[in-house]
Amino acid sequence: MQMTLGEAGGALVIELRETRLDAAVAIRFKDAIRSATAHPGSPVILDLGNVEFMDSSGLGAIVGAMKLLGPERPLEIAALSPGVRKVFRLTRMDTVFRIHDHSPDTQAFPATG
Amino acid sequence: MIQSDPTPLPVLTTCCNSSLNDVRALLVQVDKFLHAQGTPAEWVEDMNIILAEVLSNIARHGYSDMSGRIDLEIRLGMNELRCRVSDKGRPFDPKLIGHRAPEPTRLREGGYGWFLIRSLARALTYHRVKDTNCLTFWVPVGHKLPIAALAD
Repeated sequence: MQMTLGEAGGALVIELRETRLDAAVAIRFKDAIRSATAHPGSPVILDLGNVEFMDSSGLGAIVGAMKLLGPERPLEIAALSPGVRKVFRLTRMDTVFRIHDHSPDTQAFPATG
Repeated sequence: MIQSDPTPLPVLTTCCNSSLNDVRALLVQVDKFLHAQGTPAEWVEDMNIILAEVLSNIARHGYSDMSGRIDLEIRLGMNELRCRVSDKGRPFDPKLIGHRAPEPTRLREGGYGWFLIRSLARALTYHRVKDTNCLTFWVPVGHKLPIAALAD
């Protein structure tokens, strides 16, 4: 599961570097989000700009990630392809996530230590 | 594998093993086939979503602790994509599932699959014949397919 971490407007940006978020990778996705957000902090924007296809397991994994972060740390999503947007719309899960039309203008994540 | 058919309409006949990785490879093959036939993107998306849900359900619930084969046929009609999926996993009754999506605010992590299938597939039928499950459905195509084969 390839992800790139960055920062935009005080939010942690997680860019998924995969073309499919589906049943084959849903568990790995959730584990990767857990590691990427291990340190408490800023809101999280999940950039799905590279994802061409997502199934209900992928959607479930994003909902799982939202629950993992908890109510104090909102998970927003960005840059949905038409097929991905369709899954959010049909299930009405577009009503519980803040969805950005475009990928955020991300700065490289500052090195720590 | 694309086989020729007595009619000039293209058919994809293929199969995969019931692992989620093999299912994914099959879905990629279907996507390429439909794009190669000039199917409009919106209907390719619908077919991709339906098939992903159908096949991953067979892999996880139909075969669950065993492994088996899933057969797939997609037939391009003038105004629709007709699909047939068969497997030898456990029988199931699609009539009982997926009539409603989970309430969004409950933040459920599952239970959306059959709702998506029902939302996008037309004329969904299920038969169990001997040891085989057979699911058929079609996806409407908004305008006639620009099928290269028909131009000949």
